[in-house]
Order: sequence, then C-alpha cells, then structure tokens
Amino acid sequence: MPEPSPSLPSAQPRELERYAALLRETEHVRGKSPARIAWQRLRKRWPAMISLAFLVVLALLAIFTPLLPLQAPRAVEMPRASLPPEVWNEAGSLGAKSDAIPSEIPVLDKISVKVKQEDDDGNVIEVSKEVDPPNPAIEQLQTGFGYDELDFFTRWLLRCRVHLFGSYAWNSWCGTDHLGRDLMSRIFWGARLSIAAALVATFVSLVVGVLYGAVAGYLGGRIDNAMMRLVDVLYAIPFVFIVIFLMTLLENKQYQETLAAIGINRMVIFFLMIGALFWLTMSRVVRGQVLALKHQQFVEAARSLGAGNWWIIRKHLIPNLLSIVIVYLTLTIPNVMLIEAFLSFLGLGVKAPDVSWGLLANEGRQAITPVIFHWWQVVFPGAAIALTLYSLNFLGDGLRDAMDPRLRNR
Amino acid sequence: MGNSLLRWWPILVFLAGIGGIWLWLKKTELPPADYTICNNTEVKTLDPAQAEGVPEGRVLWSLFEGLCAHDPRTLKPIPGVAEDWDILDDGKRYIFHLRKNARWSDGSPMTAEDFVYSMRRVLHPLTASPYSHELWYIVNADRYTKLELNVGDPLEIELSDEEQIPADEKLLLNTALNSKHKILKGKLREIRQVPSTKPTKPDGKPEFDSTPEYLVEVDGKVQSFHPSKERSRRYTGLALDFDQVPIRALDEYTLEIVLKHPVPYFLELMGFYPYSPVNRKCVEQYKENWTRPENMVCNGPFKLQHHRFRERLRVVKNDQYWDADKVQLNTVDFLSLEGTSTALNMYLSGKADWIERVPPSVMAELKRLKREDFNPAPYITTSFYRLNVTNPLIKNKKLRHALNMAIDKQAICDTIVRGGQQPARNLVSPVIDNHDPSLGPGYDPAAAKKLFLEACDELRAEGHTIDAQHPLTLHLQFNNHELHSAVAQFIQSEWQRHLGVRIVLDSLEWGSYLKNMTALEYEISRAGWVGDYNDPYAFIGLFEGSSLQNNTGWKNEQYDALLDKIRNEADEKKRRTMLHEAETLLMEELPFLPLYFDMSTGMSRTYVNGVYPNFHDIHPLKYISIDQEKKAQVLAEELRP
Amino acid sequence: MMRFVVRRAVWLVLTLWMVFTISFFLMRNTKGGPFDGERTLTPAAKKVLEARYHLDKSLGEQYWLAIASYLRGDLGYSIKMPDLRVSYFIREGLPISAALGCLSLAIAIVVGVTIGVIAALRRGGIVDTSLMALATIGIAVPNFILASLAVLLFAFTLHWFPPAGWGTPEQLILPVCCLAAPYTAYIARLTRTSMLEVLGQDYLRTAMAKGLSPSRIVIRHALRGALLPVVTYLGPAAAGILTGSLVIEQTFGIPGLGTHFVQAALTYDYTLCMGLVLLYTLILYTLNFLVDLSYSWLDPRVKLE
Repeated sequence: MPEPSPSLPSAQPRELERYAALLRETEHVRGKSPARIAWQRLRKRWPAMISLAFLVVLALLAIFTPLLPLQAPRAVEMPRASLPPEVWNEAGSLGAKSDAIPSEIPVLDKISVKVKQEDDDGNVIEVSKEVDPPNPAIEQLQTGFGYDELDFFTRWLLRCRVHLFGSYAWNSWCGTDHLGRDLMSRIFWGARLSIAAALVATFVSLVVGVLYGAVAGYLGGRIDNAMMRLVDVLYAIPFVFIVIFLMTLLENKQYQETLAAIGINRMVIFFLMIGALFWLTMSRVVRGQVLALKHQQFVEAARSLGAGNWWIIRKHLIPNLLSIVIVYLTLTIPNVMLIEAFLSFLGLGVKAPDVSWGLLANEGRQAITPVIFHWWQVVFPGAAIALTLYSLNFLGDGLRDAMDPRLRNR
Repeated sequence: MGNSLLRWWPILVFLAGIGGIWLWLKKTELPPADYTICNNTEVKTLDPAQAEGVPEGRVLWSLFEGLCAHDPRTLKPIPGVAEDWDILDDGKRYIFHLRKNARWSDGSPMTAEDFVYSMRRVLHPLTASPYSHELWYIVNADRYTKLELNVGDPLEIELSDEEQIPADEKLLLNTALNSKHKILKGKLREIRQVPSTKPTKPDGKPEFDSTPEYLVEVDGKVQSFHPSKERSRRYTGLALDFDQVPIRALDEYTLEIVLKHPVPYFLELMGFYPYSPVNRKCVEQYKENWTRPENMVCNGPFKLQHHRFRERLRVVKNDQYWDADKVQLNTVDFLSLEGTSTALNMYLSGKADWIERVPPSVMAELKRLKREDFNPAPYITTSFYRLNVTNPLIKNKKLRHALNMAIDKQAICDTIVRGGQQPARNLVSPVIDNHDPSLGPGYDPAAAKKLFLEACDELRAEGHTIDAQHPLTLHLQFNNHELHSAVAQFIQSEWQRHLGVRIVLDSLEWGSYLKNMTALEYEISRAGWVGDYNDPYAFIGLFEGSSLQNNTGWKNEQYDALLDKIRNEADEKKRRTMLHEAETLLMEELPFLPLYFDMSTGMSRTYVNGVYPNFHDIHPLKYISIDQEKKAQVLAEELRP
Repeated sequence: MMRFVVRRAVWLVLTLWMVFTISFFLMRNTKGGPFDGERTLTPAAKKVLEARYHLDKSLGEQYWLAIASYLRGDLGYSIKMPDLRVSYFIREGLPISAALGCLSLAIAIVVGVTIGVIAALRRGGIVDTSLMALATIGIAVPNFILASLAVLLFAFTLHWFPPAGWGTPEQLILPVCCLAAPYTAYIARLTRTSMLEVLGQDYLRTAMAKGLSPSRIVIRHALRGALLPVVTYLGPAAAGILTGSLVIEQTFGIPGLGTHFVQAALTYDYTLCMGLVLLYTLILYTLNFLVDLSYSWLDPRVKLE
C-alpha cells in the first residue's frame, strides 16, 4: 500500500490479535463504493433510467447523423416549402432518391503532382509533391449537403453514407421547413450543434467554476472573500447585456481572423462564451461544498489519523464534490440549451445556414399564426428540445436522490 | 381574531397587490379609438427636425401639415398650408402663398415666419437634423449647416449670456435659435486652428481641437470665439448669417425660397414631414419636452392627446385645422408593436385596422386565400447588393457582370420573397413616373460563365491564384434577418453552381453590418434603398462619388459630371434623357447587383375607406373614414368562434 | 442589525461602481456606434451629436464625466430617443414590468410550492412523477413557443383573452401565466427537494410523535424549513424576471423594461444601457438584501452578520 497507513498504537499482543480478527472480518464485509451504491439506487428509478437511455441514444444519433440516410439539411428547394410530414411516399416506400445528394463519391486519395521549386542554389527544379485531389469531388459532397466546409470526421462519415446508401434518402417524415428543407434532417444536424454547444459550454463552466470555487473554498479567509465578491459583481451585470456585447465584439473581423488562425471558429466562440457565463453558479456551489466539507468530522478524523492532503482530497473531497457537480451539470445543460433558444429568438444565436434546435424552434414559432398553422415546424423541434430537457431534468433528479448520502437509508 | 387575520398576511398582501394592479389598469384604460394602426416600433421622437423613420413619419403627417400635402392616391403634391405657389426663374425661385385661415392648434394664426423658423431650425448646425441635406438645394443652405465658412463671410453669433444654461445641456437640441438670445452680426476675419489640450500623438504632430477659433469683426472690433477660451463670450451658436440663405417671408402670408438649381421634386419635398412647421413659442418654452401631449402645438388635421410610452400614441381631431370639416375620424391610435407576428395577431383579432407588413411566412398563404384586405402594392424600394469596388477581385468589371448575370432574380421573387416583387435589372424603381429604365442583361448562366472565365484570366494575370484548388472566394455580408438569409443562401448556391465561386456568408448584427459597410470592410453587402421622392434622381444620386450613402468605393468622374449637369438642367425632357444616360453608365460599370423591386405588404381592413395602395405606403388620415355597418359585419364574421 | 445594513450599503456602492466600470469598457470596445444608421449622417451632424453625449472626448474623460453625472443622480438622455431622459424609460417601464413580474412570481410561488409539497409527500409514485412532469413543462419548452401556442389556443381558438397589448386586466392574464411557467417549474423542483430533506429531520419525527395532524405538520413545521431555498431563489428570480421577460413582452406587445435591455445594447444606446444595467444591479442587491432579512424570520438559527 503506497498510501500512508494510520499508525497503530502500540498494544498488547492480545489486543493485536483482536485487531487482526477485526481486520479479517472487515475483509468479508467490504463496503461498496459510493459510486456503486449510487448506480444501484439510480437503477431503481425508472424515470431516470428511461431518461438516461434516451440521452445515450440521442448522443449516438447525433454523433452518427452523417451516416443516416437523411436528406441534405441545407439544400434550399422552394417548390417543396412547408410540406406536411410524409412517411410513405406515393410509391409506398419510406424513402427515395434525392437529387441533391451525390450518388457516388470518387475515392479521394492524395495525388502526386509536379511542382516547380527553387533549390538551394537558386535553380528551378521540378519536384513531385503529394497534394489533396482537386476540390470538385470534395466540393460536390459538401455542396450536396449545403456546406462550405466540413471537418474531416464528418466528411468521412458522409462518404461512408454515400457508399452505403448512395443518393437514397428517407422521406420528409417530419415535413419540410419554409425553405423546403427536410425538417427531420435539420433536427438531426441541429442536434449535433445544440448538444455540442451544451456540452462545450457546460465543460467550460465546469472547469472554470470548479477550479475557482475549489481554490476559494480551500484557501478560505480573505482570498475567499475577495474571490466571491468578484463573483457577486459579475452576477450583478444582466447576462443578456454581456452576451450581446461579447457577440458584437466577436463580430469584429480582426478578432475573428485571429481566432480562426488558431482554429477557433464562430460557433466555438459562441459555446465558450455561454460557458463563460455559467461558471459563476458552479463556482458558488463548489466553494460552498468545499467549505462545508473542510470542517466535516470525517475529514478531521482522517487528518487526525495522519492522512495527507492528497489522500483527503482524493478519498473525501472529490467523491463528495463529484455528486453535487454531476447533479449541477445535468441542470446546467438544459439551461444552456434554453439560453441558446433564447438567443435564437433574439436573432443573436446560431446564424443561418448553420442550424440548431433553438433556431428551428424560433423558425417554427413564426410558422404558427392564425393564418397558417404549419404545426410540424414547431412540434418536432419543440419536442426534440422538450424531450431532451425532460430527460436531463429527470436524470438530474434521479442522480441527486441516488447520490445524496442523507437519503441513503431510505 | 386579529391574530388569525395577521397570520394570513401574505395572502392579504397578495390580494391587495392584485387589486391594486387591477385598479391601476382600470383607471388608465382608454376607450377604443375610431381607427387603430400598428405603427411598428415606438417613435424615436416627435420633433420633425429630428425624426427620420417611417413610424415617425406616419404620426408626424397626421400632426403637422407642410406647405404641400399629399394626394392620397398618387402622392402628388397638393396644396397644404400653401394654397397656391408660383415657380419662377426656370424653376429656381418658389413663391408660396399661404392660406389665411391656417391656424396652430392653440388658435394662433400661421405665418410665413413660422416656415422660415422651422426650415432654419432643420438647417441649423446644432440641430443635427438627419434630413437637412434635402434642403441643401437652397442657396447657401449647405454652407449654413456644414459651417463651411470663408473669410469675409457675414456671420451671426447667438449669445446666451443672460440665460444660465447648465454645462451639459448647452449642447442640447433646442437651446440654439432662441428668440430671447442676443444676436451679434459680424464679418469673419480669420479662422484659427487651436492646439488641442489632449496630449499630442506619438508621431509628434500637433493635434488641433475639432472646433477652430473664429475671429469676427463686430461693429469694427475683432472678437474671438472659441468654446474653450475663458474670455470668449458664451455663445450657443455661430453660423453663417441666415440672411444669406434665401428662405424669406415676403409678408405675413408669402414665402420665398430660392434654389441653386431647378429641382423638379421640390414641391414634393415641401410636403415631407421633416420640413413641417413647428411652433416657435412652444419649442422655446418647453425645450425638449415640447413634443409631450400636454405641451405640443401642431397644425395638422390631428393633435396629440395621449402618449403611453411604447404602447400607444393617441391623436384626436384638431378643431383648429383649416380643413377640419373634411376630417372624419375623431380618434386614431398608433400602436407600438415590434413583432410582425404580434401585429398580425392584433389585426386578425380586430384590435387593429391596419398593419404595416405581415410576416414573410404567411405571405404566400394570404395570397392563396385571396383575402380582400391583403393588397401588396409596388413600393419605392430597390433591393440590391453593394459591391466593394476597392476590393482587388471585385475591381474587375467582368467579374461584377458575371455575378450579375448568374442570379436568377425571377426565382428569388417567385420562390423566396413571394410578395409579388419584380426582378430588378436596373436601379431606379419602376414606380417612378416617366423614367426610361436602362436595363442590364437578364439571367444568362452561360454568358456569365464565359465572362467569368475571362475575368479569371485577367485576375490571374494580376497575380491572383484561381484554380480548382483555390476557387475564387468572396464574402457576402447581410444583416441577420430571415429573408436576407434565405436570399443570400439562394444566391450562394447560384454562384457556386454556375460560376464555381465559393461564397462565404456573413450574417451580422445590424451595428456591425453598417459599420462594415461604411468602412468598406466588406466584399458584397446586402442593401436596400427607399426613394424619398418620385424622381429617378432619388436613386441615381445614391452612387454619386461624394454621396454619403454610396458606400461602394465607386467613383466615376463621368457619372459625377453627368449628375452635375442633371441638377442644373431646367428642361425636363433633356433632364430625363440624362438620367437615363446616367443609369446606362451605372449599369455598364455595375458597382451593385440589382435584385428585386420591393412591395408594401401590409393589410388594411375592407371597412376602412380612403386607404389607397401607393408607392410610399402613406395613407393620410385626413381622408380616411370607417364604414361602421360593414365593420360590425366583417368582425362578427371573422371572430366567430 | 445596523452593522449588517451599513455593510450591505457600502458593498452596494462598491458593486455599482465595479459594474459600471466593467460595463463601460465592455460597451466602448464594440465596433458599431450609436450614430450608425442606414442613412449615413453628415459629418457635421455626427459631430454635434457626439459632442452632446461627450463621445468626442477621450475614453478616460468620458468615464469621469459619466461618474460625475451619476453621482449627481442624473442618468442622462437616451442617445436613440434624444428627447427622453433615461429616468423616463425607467419610470414608464418599471411599474409595468414590476406588475407583470410580481403577479407571475406570486402565481409561481403558490402553484410551485403546492406542486412541490404534494410531489414530495407522494415521493416516487405516479402522482409525484406526473406532477413534476407537468411542472417541468415550464423549463423544458422554450418560453417563446409556449407563448405562441398559448396565443393561438386562448386568443384565436377559444377567444378567451386578447392576443396582445397592454392596458386592460384581461390582457394581463396570458402573459402573466406564460411568464410564470418557468419560475413555477423551478420553485416546484426546489420545494420538492428541500421538502424531502426536511421530512427526514428529527424535529418532524418529534412533531409526529406528539400526535399532531399531518396537515398541521406539513404546513406549520415542514414547509417553513423547506421554503428557505425557495426564498433564496426568489431574489435572483425577481431580478431576472425584469430582464428575462423580454420574450413575453415582445410576444404580447407589453411596454415593460425587458425589451430595452436588448434594444439598448443592440443599438449602442450607451446611456440607456448603462442606466438599465445599474438599475438591474440595484434591484438585484435590494432583493438579495430582503431575502437575507427574511432568512432570519424563516429560520431563527440564521444570524445576520
């Protein structure tokens, strides 16, 4: 055992024997780890378990969206604007060939070309060089789906999809939007962005919040006071205001170009920014918990038994913090998604042609008026958001109940 | 008993709160008006000299009447406060004869002096009126506003020694041009730059204060005027002597205005709301509060009765109006409702009788339903894309033409905007009378591709790399809006398909979008232009090299010279020919891509008489009446559960 | 007690100053300016307008001028609506936002606490799950969708309420209910959780052992302890309702303050923006102060310090 073990007080041989017997006994009744207990208790809560299953499926679907035989999410096709849902087409099948999607993708291996180059002596020589193939093939794929650029992973998945299904695509099971784009495809692609936004933002809030809160709580005293006052001040600025000004600030081409140079695009900035707004609450929660834990009897006990700082942090602080952080996370993600929707309502969120759930919901809102009632444009995106948020909330509740040590015996 | 009552105090407080709010609302409730219109946003100001938006215009046209008014059908200028006018000196001198029975709403008579004051107020440098430039056709008016002073010019200095003006109110609008202030008249002797008090820039160049010091000879003595100088007199305004600007009251009821050059649409301008007369006594007495309902004095068919900020403005019939017998409405409400969906809801539930525009999403359906109350009419607006010709790529004329020919504008009108808009092949809106449009080429992807390849060759020769791996890439910026975004996406796919140009879409916030446009930090930018008057010049003047609204970096000497000639041409026929020539030149050079001509897409209830579709979507309230019988019938039918 | 109040007041002033400083420099760093419009202003007019709002001075000078004017209690004139003082915006908008917000919060508290208590008492059962599912609608469906659907249903299908507007009590009902929905959800969840916690505490067992009636135990003893987190939440919630009611205000055309928060920032109306931010800070602080005071009333163990 590398960890420092509590030194046993010197004792009589008979007592030592008793200790040994006790130790042997405890080996048989080894306690379960808190995580295990929590999991067992969580398993008994069906709303939480259904939610968890839903979220896992959702995440998988979002990741592998490009593999699914969906229509192109961005191909504007005005004659098909605002068509109601259609599961079976006239031919009675679930899908058909789509014109927008290329049926075949040429293999895109590197090709070798000859380029003129100056060598060290200044002579022009021809060198063969491996380069990407000419753009059209990639472009065809990208423009087929309506994208300017796609990252490597998505492009690879899309190529797989074209190999698997060709230009076959499912019908518009959820109808089409006001520009004739397939709503189901947009919901799936939107899920990628919305979920990514929620996760990145939450992650940022987690890292910053936990670090800030833990440091403040652990150091305590004056530093703690000063750090928390800063949080108070930031709390006192209305968040809409900060969002708007940061957004307009980041629309500055110079900033954008600088950030793009290090691989951060607009969307990432957007995620980061929302995350930067959410760390305040997280830091408060964590700090409160650390402060409470620091003086708990079991921590004191461990310390008096000679446990080191690291041991205490690892065995006592982190597990106890983890539960509250996880619970708070499941509640932050829904908040971030709602904020994203709210920003879309204001026209400040994701910008077309990118698509997110908030954007879809806002477009849907405009499609239900007393004159027109394209219910599918609001019901499906709304349902996607609602189901996800419901799941997260129920999962959060379940986790809290499962992890709360005070509820352990009930 | 008392104890148990006390224990329920939260509930009592709750009930008291609800009761209080209910009473408050009941107390401030207004009976419905005769006619209610949704006026889009809250008016920014009701001071004609400060106003510039369409919602402001609608209210101001009901409160004020200028020298001329509008015919409700054609919007041609008809007599307003001026009952007659003479146009002399080849259209350079206007004599307006004011009607003797025109009165302010406080009962005092209106005189030519009121108009001199009002126009002077618009022109005054300290008013910073957004529409002062349309009066610059008047001799010396632009020098008066822009403070373009030369040595030897007669000046007038307004002194406010007697009146204590708090420091930060000194620059408040309405402090200048006060009849209580003393006026000094003198001759400008010298303009001296004053070194700035700010630290000099690192490059060592001395910086000057933005306001120079003026040395003026008054009664034989030279005096110095500069805001920072301790010894200088406190003055609120220093400007060219207004006697130099020929807006003159010849007698109580005759007004003379002399222009630099003939302006065929000058009468139309005289009906424009920024040049409405304002009551000097009222403005001077109440300062910035003169537009409040309790203070405001106006001269139009209606007067302001009630203003609930951001909710509604209520105007009532003005009994002092000279033509009050013709006015049929007693009360009119202007609702401030920002969302088009909300406005539509109000309209459909019978709470409003007119809305400015319907959400784009319902347009197609309204047309399909053939609703009698939805009649889109051509609107004096051209939608186009500005091209930044200072950009090394867009500088290429062939590229500009290729981009133009590769857009299927008909498809944009039929499938995206869908309000009956017409595809545009020129700049000047077809609603403008007697203009011979100079049409550019139509949709022709093959020719576009050919031109594009030539352009690419030229660009390559200039050192740009354009090949399969590096397709020509252009950025297209637009302000974030559903419709603009849809059009941009469509055009993006058109250019990608026909030309192989890669387009990056930049959907921007309004502020950033404008800033990029004025700073020429864009490549292609969405734009729309509303003509202020029914003359091709309203559009042609846009691309003059010195125009502030040009924003393309395009400057063509030939074009500017032509415009100069157009302005000075008295012969209407020759003028029109030259306007056609100018447009031809513009279409040849193409610093913009015309897209479509816009439509007004509002709704007006069928029981409202006197609302005629016209190109500015202006419907003077004076001529509007309500058919009460039909109203009851229509609403009963529509609101049946 | 006195010390507590004084300390809070000092902190309020300090916070106001810091919020002012942060917002000031954040605002002035953006690209656009208040005088950019679709029509470009003449340079002369722009100069006059900039001088009026001291925008022609250096940033440092502007900062001190603004502080001086705030210290005098003068919030200045709006830039976009040049005839109106910022205080006029607040005077006109705040009562409306406050009325809307108070009613919504009241409904949210009554409904939320009731749902929370019932759900906690029936913990784990179908009643609990379905009640919580009902309450969660408020935070699972974006507010603007809820409001749009409510308008269609109640104004156009059932013809019960007018679809928008302000001025009559009937026009208040729909927006108040829509605004209350998310807060109801949060309060219900908070109540349920804290109620569960409280129900396991010793003093309730004692009360039960004493033979008190269950309803009396819940209302007199459990609820009082369970309300603490709810009260904590009310401070920020009430302040947030002022800014967050934007969606409801726009959908229902209500002239409250919420819209200004966004409009002022989007149009770079610096003075209005700053006035509103400071107002928000002030309200948030005052409410948090009241919340702290009410702690000691709800839980005698809490001491103000």
